[in-house]
Amino acid sequence: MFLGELEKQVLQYLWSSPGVDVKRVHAELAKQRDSSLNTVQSALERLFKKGLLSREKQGHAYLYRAEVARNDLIAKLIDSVASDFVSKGESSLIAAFSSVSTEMDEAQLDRLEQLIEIQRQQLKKGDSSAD
Amino acid sequence: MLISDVAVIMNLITIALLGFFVGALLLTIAWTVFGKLIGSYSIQSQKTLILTWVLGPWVLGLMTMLFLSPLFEETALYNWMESFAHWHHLYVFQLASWHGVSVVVFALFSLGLIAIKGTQLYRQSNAIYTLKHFSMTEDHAQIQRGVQIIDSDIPTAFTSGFFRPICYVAKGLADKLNDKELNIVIEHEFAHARNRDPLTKLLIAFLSAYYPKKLAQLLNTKYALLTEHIADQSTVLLHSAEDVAATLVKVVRLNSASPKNESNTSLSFFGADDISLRVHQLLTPTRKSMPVIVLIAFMAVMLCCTIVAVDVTHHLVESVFTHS
Repeated sequence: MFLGELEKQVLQYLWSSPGVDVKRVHAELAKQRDSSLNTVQSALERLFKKGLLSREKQGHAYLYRAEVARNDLIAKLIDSVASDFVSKGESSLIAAFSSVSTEMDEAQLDRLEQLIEIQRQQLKKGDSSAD
Repeated sequence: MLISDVAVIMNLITIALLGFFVGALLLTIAWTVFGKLIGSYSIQSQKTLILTWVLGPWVLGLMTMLFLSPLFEETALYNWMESFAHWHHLYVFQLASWHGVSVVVFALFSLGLIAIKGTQLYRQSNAIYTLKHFSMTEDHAQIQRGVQIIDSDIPTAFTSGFFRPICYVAKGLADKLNDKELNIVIEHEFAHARNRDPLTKLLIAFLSAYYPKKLAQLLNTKYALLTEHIADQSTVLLHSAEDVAATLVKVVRLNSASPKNESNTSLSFFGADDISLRVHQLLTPTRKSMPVIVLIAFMAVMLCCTIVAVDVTHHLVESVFTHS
């Protein structure tokens, strides 16, 4: 997913102020950057086409709101970082501590924990017999 | 038709390509025979073996080109070699022949691969940049340690970046671990950053892309698992193996318990077996190492087979597609 600088700022603003028209977005962003109304309108259009915004017509203007929650977008971005390089089935190019959705059932995890506990006990026994 | 030094260079490229593909074929066959044994060796030996397989076709192609090049023309080695393998018409090269087509196809494939990986690189750096824009917190203590905290509920930690890798830990993970466990996760990620694992994974992905897809995926997956084993080993220098293993299991539990977002499923690049393998490797590390001499002997045999196969293939193809 590719997001330009203006698109990021628009999205950030719409998370805090949903249901606003292009003029309001432009007025708010004018405090941070020098963009024309048309440029902001284009950014809103692009975000709408990417499915990140929804809009409803009120009078002559569209009112925009974020279609995707901030947390969901962050999840998608982490996903993009991990999966953009490789097709399904290949390893990712990020080096993660463990996967987000490793499918191990409780019984398998319990067995691994038992193994770890047995090893701890054996080490303790070894230490106490050495003393 | 080229009859000059350029022809020699083009013929040498063709030899290298043919050597490369024959080498890849031989190593693919060898993998089906020996691939299953690799897991019984130590992590370092496994890494050497995987690198041998990934770099093998390139080395075999270049060595074959070297042996059949005019560089050794006056030597006894060349005369001996010529009795069973040679490249006739080294000084003549016809572009409109299978030689020319092979070079062009290889160049186009390589360019396509560079374009695809380049686009992915660009997309990924944009995703990281956007992630930073939306979710970085001002946790000065962790920033000073060189860790970026992501303001997200997802219980994840990863290292990204090719030349200046950065470790990221999500609050969703940091908040649920105690200090010792969080240190283990961070030390593990630091090991990835020190080893430049994202960059080496990219190189392995690029170099192995010339293999059949199934083997390429296998080599990439095995290499990724090895980077995890090596990062685990680094973490064990500062913490007990049992604590590292227990943290790994705890993180997997947190992952399993977290609500599944449909978008984050592809972060699952480790299967259940891999987590299990990591825990077992931490508790009872394999120490059997592969003697280097065995590896050298293996590659020497592969090289002899490649040179002979290149000669045979060349003659065989030319008897079908004759060119003047």
